[in-house]
Amino acid sequence: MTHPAQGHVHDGRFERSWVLLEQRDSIEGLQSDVNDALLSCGYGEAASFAIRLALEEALVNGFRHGNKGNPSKHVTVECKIDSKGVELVVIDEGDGFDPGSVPDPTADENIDIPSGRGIMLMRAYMSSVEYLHPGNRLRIFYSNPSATA
Amino acid sequence: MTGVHLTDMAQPQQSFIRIAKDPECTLVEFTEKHIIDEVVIRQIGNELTRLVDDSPRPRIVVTFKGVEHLSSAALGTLLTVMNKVKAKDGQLRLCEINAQIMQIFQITKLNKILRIEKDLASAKASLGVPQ
Repeated sequence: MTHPAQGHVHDGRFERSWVLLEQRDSIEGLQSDVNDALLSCGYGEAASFAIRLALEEALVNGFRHGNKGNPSKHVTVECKIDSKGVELVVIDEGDGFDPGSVPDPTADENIDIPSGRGIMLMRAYMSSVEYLHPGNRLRIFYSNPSATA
Repeated sequence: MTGVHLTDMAQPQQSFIRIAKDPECTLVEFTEKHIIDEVVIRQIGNELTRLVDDSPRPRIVVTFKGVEHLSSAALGTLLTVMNKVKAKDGQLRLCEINAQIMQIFQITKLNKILRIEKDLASAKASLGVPQ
């Protein structure tokens, strides 16, 4: 079995990684590349919407909370797409993050607090969301709803 | 609707909303279809805050016509604006929200505290604005 060349769709599969600084052009470029790959691999509008949203939230968390807004620090994104689903690993240069420390934003006492909904949205749209040790590696997975078991 | 271009010191800033004021309420629409960039969201928040600050009792309708993507940061800005409007005993309505964006409001349960109307006509009607 051959693997797709970095950044190219081959036989319905795609693999690529990016190392980004917090610059809007770079983030938009990444989003555009991932979206193009999704479409080329046969994914539809629902997947495109979900993955764009989850990736945006993951990147914002990485730059803002992980790297604490330090403009010289990077976030690395690894993307693998195949017929089973889409895996994104987002790695920041921070000390790690405990997702359990974020209060439930839908609780009555938190509902009008402006922050804390990014992880919730990722969990709602992705099939799995995991923070890997020591907490600065986020792995999110979107299962292809059309995939056969 | 007319474009509003605010200035911050000597640096002109791009506006990401269009504003139309009538005697009964203020209508706001977004010029961006993706409201996800933090710089854009901050600027939108500043402009909406200015609208609230400039009115003794703000009545604002925000239409999402054409908006295709929204981030949690944008939700946070809407909540901040809602809190400012409530603090002045004003009213805020959101409308023309497509199905995918509506799902975001439902997942986060913000549809329970933000008043969302189907379209501009029903949003204005809910404020008692003559059609």
